[in-house]
Amino acid sequence: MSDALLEVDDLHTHFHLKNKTVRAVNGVSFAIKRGEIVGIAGESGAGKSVACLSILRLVPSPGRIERGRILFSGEDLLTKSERQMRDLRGQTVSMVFEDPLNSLDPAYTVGSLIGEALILHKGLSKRAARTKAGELLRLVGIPDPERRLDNYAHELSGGMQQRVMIAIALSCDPALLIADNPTTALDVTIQIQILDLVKQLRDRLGMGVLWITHDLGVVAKLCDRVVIMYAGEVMEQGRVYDVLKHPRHPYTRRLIDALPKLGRPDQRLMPIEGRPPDPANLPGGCPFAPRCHRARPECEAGDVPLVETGDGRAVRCLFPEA
Amino acid sequence: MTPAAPPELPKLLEVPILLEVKNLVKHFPVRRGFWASGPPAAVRAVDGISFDIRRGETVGLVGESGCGKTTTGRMIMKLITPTSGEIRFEGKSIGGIPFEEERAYRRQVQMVFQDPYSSLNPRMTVGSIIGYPMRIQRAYPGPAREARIRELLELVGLSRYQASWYPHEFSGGERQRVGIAAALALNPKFIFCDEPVSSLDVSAQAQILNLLKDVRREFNLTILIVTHNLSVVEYLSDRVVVMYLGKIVEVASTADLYRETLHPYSKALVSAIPTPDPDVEREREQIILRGEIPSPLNPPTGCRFHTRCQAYIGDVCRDVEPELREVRPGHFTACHLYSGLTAAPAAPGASRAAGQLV
Repeated sequence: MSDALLEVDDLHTHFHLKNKTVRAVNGVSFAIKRGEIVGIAGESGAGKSVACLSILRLVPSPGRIERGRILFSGEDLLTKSERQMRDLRGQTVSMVFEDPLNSLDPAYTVGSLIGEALILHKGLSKRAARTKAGELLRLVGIPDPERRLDNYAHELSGGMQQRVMIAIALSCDPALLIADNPTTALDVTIQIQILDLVKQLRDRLGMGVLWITHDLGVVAKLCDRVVIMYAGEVMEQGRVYDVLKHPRHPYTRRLIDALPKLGRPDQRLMPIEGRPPDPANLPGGCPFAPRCHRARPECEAGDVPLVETGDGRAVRCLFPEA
Repeated sequence: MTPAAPPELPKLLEVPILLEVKNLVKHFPVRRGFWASGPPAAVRAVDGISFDIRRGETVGLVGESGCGKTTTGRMIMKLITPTSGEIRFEGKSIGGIPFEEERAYRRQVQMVFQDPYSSLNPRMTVGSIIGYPMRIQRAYPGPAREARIRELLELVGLSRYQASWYPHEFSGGERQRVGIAAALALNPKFIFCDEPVSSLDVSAQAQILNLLKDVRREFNLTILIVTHNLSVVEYLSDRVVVMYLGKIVEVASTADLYRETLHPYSKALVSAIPTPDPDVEREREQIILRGEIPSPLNPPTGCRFHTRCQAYIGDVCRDVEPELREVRPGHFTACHLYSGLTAAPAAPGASRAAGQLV
């Protein structure tokens, strides 16, 4: 894939605790093309966030990237120096976090928060940074942006704060935007505004987007392709339509069946029995096998490979659905 | 879509009303600076709402943050006192009643909280958490209490041996089961669920929704569920009340609301629900509201939604507050599109829906 913007290949990120090793990300591979929106979906603890922090090499201690390759525009990020990474973060690759109020420094105005990256990375003057910050606020749909520049984060609503986060992330025209559950704290009508905004910005700026979410509905609304994660591994990936309409991995199927669906209130929900495995003590073979309705003894015998079936579709299952 | 018109409607009307809310108002006064002039300001969280809940019915109260849905529930639970208006339970007002009556009322109404992590005391075993309401109300004395705790644990799908466990030993979904067991301990008639699944993973969410559906049927419970998730509401509720900025904008049976949404705000809400079916996402109309929810300190004049409404029909929306009117049998909405106050005929989309009218 020559047109890939980001290629993650066999990524392993482990947390070494006193008496155990938590294997949060366990051999994850996926790719994002320029101008593509890719969703990573899965339940909490699936390793979605750690995988994304690994891309920016921001995994907190005692976490460590054990092996794998992260190619960004063909260059391996894991071989770069910390200084090179710092130039990259916020400039070429930027990130939006889940909780906007905790991510925005309460001691600075919105204008200086956005301007900081512009002054640091782009070498703009204070005055030019302020003008650009105003433009960015308008771009993300904040009314009366010039006045908002002098507000502090706590003076804005949740939707506004998230827009400011996105404005900061966009300030240096990143080639890749990584967003970790950025709309979970927002109301649905505000969430759809943000999703619409991201799609527009992708069309206009041609950036790639990696969108982490646990909501398959958001995936259906926003993404071009989706990666389904479970217990640190990719279970299935492919085009959103294919994966959600014709899931081949039993886990994807069960995730969809567990969701209440609009217009079908009489259909009883089918929860997935059991619990996700302890990431410090993963079972051998397929991690979903203990909860899987299609599992056979072979599933727990050995590692199950991620098999590509063409068209960017890949499934990690010995007995996938047709 | 949903099967034909609900035949239960006339049957439902014969069922007695359990809870009645009349012109309920809650204003939270705001502290202002010493030099401020004019009348004292207040957050108008709930601003004159009326609805009723019949025995055995599940009503969903939906709307965005700040619309007053949780405040309404908390007033029903007597956790806060209304500014004005009345709440009647089994025909009797719950305001200003003597202590013993209030105690009896609190036995009959229980609450399931949003966050199963912060709503369970980490220093108590789940057995004592579930037993606590019985202790307070002096119900199930002696050995009967232990038996009741075990019975409740099994009822919500946990093991009787887990009574001695502490909350941290359970997953989020299991903790919410404990919360439900505690709410059921005193055999209440009415349960108020405040966002019961919003902090849970997909699978735990499905389990809790199924559990609520089951206990509701088993004990003929009346439930008020507050949530911003409209697919959850559709799954659980018989009727839906949609709120916006302290006012009710639409009340309808669940089937009616999703089949023929009347109020422009409800339409936007329904269209914004993310659903995992790409075909549905592709086909349906996507309404993206402009702007944000105005401040409840100073709500817009006239119809409170007029600043964001896409069906704005003129000055009447800005100047005159629409009343909640019955537009179709059992289907109420507060919108000038249906009030007959203007020459503007039917609502957009009415022609499409006309064929489905009875």
